[in-house]
Amino acid sequence: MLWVDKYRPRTLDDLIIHQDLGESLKKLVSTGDCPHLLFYGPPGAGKKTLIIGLLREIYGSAVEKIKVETKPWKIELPSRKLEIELTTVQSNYHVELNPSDVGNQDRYVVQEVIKDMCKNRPLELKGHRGYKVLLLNEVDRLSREAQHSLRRTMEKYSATCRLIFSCSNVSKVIDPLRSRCLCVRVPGPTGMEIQQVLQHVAQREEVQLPDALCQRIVQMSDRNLRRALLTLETCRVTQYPFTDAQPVQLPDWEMYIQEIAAFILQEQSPKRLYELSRKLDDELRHTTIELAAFYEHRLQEGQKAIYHLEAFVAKFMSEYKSWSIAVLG
Amino acid sequence: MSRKRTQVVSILSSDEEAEDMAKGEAQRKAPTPKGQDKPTRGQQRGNSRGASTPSSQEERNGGLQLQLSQPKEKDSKPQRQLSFRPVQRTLDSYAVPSDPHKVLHPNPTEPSSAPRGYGSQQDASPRKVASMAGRQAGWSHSHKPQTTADLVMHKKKIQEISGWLELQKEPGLRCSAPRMLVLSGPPGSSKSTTVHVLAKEMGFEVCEWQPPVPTLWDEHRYHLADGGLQYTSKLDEFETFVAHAKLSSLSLQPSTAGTHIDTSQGTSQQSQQPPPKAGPKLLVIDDLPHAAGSEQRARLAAALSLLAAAARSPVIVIATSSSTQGAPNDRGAAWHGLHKELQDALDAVGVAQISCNPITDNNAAKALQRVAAEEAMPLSKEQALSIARSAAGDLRSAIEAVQLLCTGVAPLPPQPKTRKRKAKGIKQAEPELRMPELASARDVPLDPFHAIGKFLYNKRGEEGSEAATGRDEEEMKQPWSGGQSFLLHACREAAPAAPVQLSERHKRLPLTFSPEVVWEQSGLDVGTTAGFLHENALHFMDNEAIEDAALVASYFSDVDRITRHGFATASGSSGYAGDLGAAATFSDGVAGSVLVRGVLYANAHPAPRRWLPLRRSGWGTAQRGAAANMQQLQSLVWAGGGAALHCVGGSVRAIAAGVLPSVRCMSANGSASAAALLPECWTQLWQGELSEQRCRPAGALSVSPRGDLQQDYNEDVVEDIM
Repeated sequence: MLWVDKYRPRTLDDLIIHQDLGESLKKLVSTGDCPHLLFYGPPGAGKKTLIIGLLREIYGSAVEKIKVETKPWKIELPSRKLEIELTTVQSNYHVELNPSDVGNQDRYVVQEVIKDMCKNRPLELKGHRGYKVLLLNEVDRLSREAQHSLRRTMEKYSATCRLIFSCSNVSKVIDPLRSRCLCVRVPGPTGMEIQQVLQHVAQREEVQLPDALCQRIVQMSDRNLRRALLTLETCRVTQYPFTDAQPVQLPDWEMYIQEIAAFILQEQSPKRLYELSRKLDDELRHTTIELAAFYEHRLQEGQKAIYHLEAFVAKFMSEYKSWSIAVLG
Repeated sequence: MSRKRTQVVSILSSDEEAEDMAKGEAQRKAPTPKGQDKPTRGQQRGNSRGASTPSSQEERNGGLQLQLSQPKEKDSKPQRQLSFRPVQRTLDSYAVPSDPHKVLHPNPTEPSSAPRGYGSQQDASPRKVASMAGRQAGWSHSHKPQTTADLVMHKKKIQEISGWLELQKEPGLRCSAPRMLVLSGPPGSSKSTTVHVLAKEMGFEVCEWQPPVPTLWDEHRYHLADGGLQYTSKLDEFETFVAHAKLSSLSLQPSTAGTHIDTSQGTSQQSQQPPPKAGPKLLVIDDLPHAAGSEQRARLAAALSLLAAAARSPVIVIATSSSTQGAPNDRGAAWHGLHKELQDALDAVGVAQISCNPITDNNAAKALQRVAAEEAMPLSKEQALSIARSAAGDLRSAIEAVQLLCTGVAPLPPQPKTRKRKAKGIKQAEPELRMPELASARDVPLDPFHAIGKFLYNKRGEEGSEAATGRDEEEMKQPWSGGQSFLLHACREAAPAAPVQLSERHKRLPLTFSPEVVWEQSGLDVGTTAGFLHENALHFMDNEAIEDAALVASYFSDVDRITRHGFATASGSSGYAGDLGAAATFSDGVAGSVLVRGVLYANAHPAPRRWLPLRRSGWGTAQRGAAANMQQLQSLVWAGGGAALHCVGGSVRAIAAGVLPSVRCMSANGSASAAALLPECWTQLWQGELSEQRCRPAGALSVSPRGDLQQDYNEDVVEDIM
C-alpha cells in the first residue's frame, strides 16, 4: 500500500491539517441532520479524506465495509432503452460513484442511481440516520444537463438521501446546485502544513527526512499533499538514506511540458537568445499569463483541447518572436 | 379458357414457343389446380378497371394491347405473362410500368414480330403506340441511341468495351480468362445503353437477368391464398439464374426456357431474343440483388465468381457507383459501384473492369440538342449546356430535365401544346425556351477533399482585379439555385454598403471563390472540416510566418468555442431553424464560416506551391488512445474495492496526473508493491499511430488487496459480535 493511503486519516479526529474544518463538520453531524454538501478545492487538498471522515462520523465504522459493484443500469427512456455500465462503491449507508465516467449519458445514470438508492431506505436502528448518502466525485465534469436534472432530484428525494459532491473547479458547478448545498472550501495545504505531514509520515515510517529535502519536496509539490507524499515515497525508493542534494523527481508529464517549453524557445530563438531567457521572464510574463488565462478559459469551454493548446503555443511563439526582434533590433 | 388467355398465348411469336408454353402451363397447372381461377380473377379485375361503357372498348383494347405488346417490344420473357397474369394485372392496375431501364432491345423497327390477331390494329397505329410508350417512359428512354455514332460515352471507352466484346467473340479465349466484365460508372453515364447498342451492332444476342418484380405484402398474401406463389428473395433468384447460366443444356435456349423456368416456380425472369438472330449470347446483369449483410454479400460474391468462372457466354455486370453511398469510411468501396467484398471476390477471379466517367458537359449538351431536335423543340446551345452542367454528368436526368422544360409538366410557363405548335410554326419568332429557375438545377456536391484543398491552397485573384463578386454571384446562383441556404443568404446580405478602409496588413487579394459556397457544397460538418484543416493548415504556411500560424490557431480556438456553445448558451436552444443546408444550426453555420474564412484569411504568406498530402485529423486516434487508457485506469481505481488507491478518491484523472508518475518511478526503481499498481497496458500515440504496450512487469502480481479487505471484514464482524 502506498504511503498516501496508509497514513490517510480515517476519522475527523485524526486530521493533521484542516483540523478546524474537521471540527465544524463534527458539529454539523452532532446537530442530527446533515445538509447536502459540496466539497471543493484543488487536487490533493484533502476533500476525499474529509468526506470519508464525515461518513465515518455519521455512520460509524460500518461505513468502511464497502463493496465494489459494476452493474449495467437499464434505463428506459421514452424513446429508447439505454444500458449503461457503471461502477459504484457501496456500503450499507452510502453509494459512491463517478458519474463523469459514463460520458454523455450521465444525467440518466445519476437519476437512476438516486432512485434506486432511495427505494430501500435504511432503517433507523441504533441511532443511525434515516438517510443514505450519495457521494458524487468530479461533479465539475458532469454535463450541464445532468447537473440540471440533479437539481430536481435533490429536492425530491431529500428526505431519504443526502448528496455529497466533490469537485475541484466549483465554477463549473451550476449555481442552483451550489445554492442547494453547504459549500465547503478545502484549501490546498500550506507549505508548513505539508512539511508537518511529511515529517509525521517520515517519523511513522522511521526514515530520516532532512529538512532541506523536505523543503524541496514541498516546493515542487505545488501545495498538493498527495503529490508531496508520493514524491517522498519515490525518493525513499530511489535513494535511501536521504541526502540533501538528492534530486526530486517531477511527474513525467510536467517534465514533458518543460521539454515542450524548451522546444518552443529553441525553435523560435537560436542559441544567442539563450542568455536572454531570464529577461523573457520579466518582460513577456504579462502577455504570457494573459494568453494562458484566456486559453485556459477556452479549454474549459471548448471541446477539443488541442485547438486551444495549439493556439496558446502559437500565440506565445508569435509574441516571443516579435519581442525578440524588438530587443535585438 | 377466357378470351384473354388466348390473347396472351397468341402473343408468343412462334408456334413452337406457344406449344412449349402450353406445355409449361399444363405442367404448372397440374400440381396446383387452384391456379386455374387466376385468369378469371385477372379478367374480373381487368373488367372492373376498364371503363364499362362500350364506346371506350376501343381504347381499352388499345391500352391492353399496349400493355401486352410492350413486353414484346422489350423482349421480356413470354412465360411471365403466363404464370404471372395476376401479378401483371395488379401491377398494371397500380400503374407501375415495368422498369424501363431493364429494356433490352427497344426495337421499334421490329413490328414484324407483333402478335397475331392484334397485328392489324397495331399496324394501324404504330406511331401512336410508340409515342405513347415514349411518353410513358420518358425521353431518356424513347430517344435512346440506336447506333454507335449516337453514343455519348467517350470514344475511347466505347473502344475499350467493344474491344472486350470482340475478344469474347473468339471462342479460343474461352478457358483462359473469365468472360466477365464489370462496367461501373455513375448513374446516367449511359453504361447500359452503350452495352446494348454495341452488342446489337456486333451481333450479340443479349440475355438479361431481369429481377422479379418485388412483391408487396398484400399481393403476396393474395397469391398465398391462391396457393400460387412462394416468396423468393432476389438473391435466391440470382443464384438460380447463375446455376442456369452455366449449364448449356438449360434455360438459355429460348425453346426450352419455358419449361425450364416452370420447374423453378417460374419466378426467375430471363428475357430472350427470339430465335431469328442466332448470334453469340451476351449476358447482361444490370441490377444486382441488393446484399445488405455480410452473409448475403458472401453469397452474392460466390454466385458472381461462379458465373465468372463457368458462364458459357460473356457476362457484363453493370454496377452503378454513387458518391453518396455509405459512410465516409467506405467511400472508396462504394465509389466503384460494387461493394468492396464483391470487388475482392471478382478481382480474385481476374474479372475485367472498365469504369466509365460521368458524361462531359459538352457531350451531354450535344445529346440534349439531338433529343430536342428529334422532338422539334428549340433548345439553344447555351441552354443545353447549362442543363447538362447542372445535371453533373447524369445524362438521364439531363434529358428528363429537358423533357420537363418542354412539356411544362412543371408548374412553369411553357405550355406543352402551344409551345410545340409555336416551335413547329414560328420557330424564328421565339427560338428560346424559357429557362425556369428551379426546375432543372440540382445540387452539385463537391468532393470533400477538393473543398479542403481549396481552402488550404488559398487561391486568390491577381492584384488589382476586383473582388470575385461577379463570379461569386454566378457560382452562388448556378449550382445552388435549388434553394438558397440561410448561410449563403446571410453572407450576401452582410456585404457592407460602403467599402471599409483596411489597414495594409489586413488586406488580402480577392478570393476566386466563395468560401461558404464551397464549404456547403462539400457537405462536411464543422468538426470534420476543422479537423482536416487543423491537421494540414500549418504545412501550407510559410516557414517564417509564425504570426499567421498564431492567427489561424486562434481561429480554430474560436471555432471550437462556437461549436460547443453556440451563441445561445444560457437558454440552450439554437434559435434558428430554417433551411440551413449543411449549417444545421445557426452556430454551426457561423462556425463554418469563421473557420474557412479564418483559414483563408490567416494564411497571408502561403508556402511555395507544392504537392502536399492531406492528412486525416489525429484527434480521433488520440481520443481513442486516451479512452483505452482511461478504461485501464478505471479498472485500476476500483480494483479491490478502491482500497489500493484510496488516495485518489475514485478519480481517474487524479490517478493519471498525480499517482501514476510516482508509481512509475518507484517501480522503475524496483518497488514491487508500486509495480502492482501500474495499469496492465498503456496505449501510446506516436506519429499518429496508437501502440499498446504492457507496462506492468511480468513478475508483479495484479492488485489484490482483497485479502486485506477480507481481514477488515472479519475484524469488524468480530467487533460486532462482541
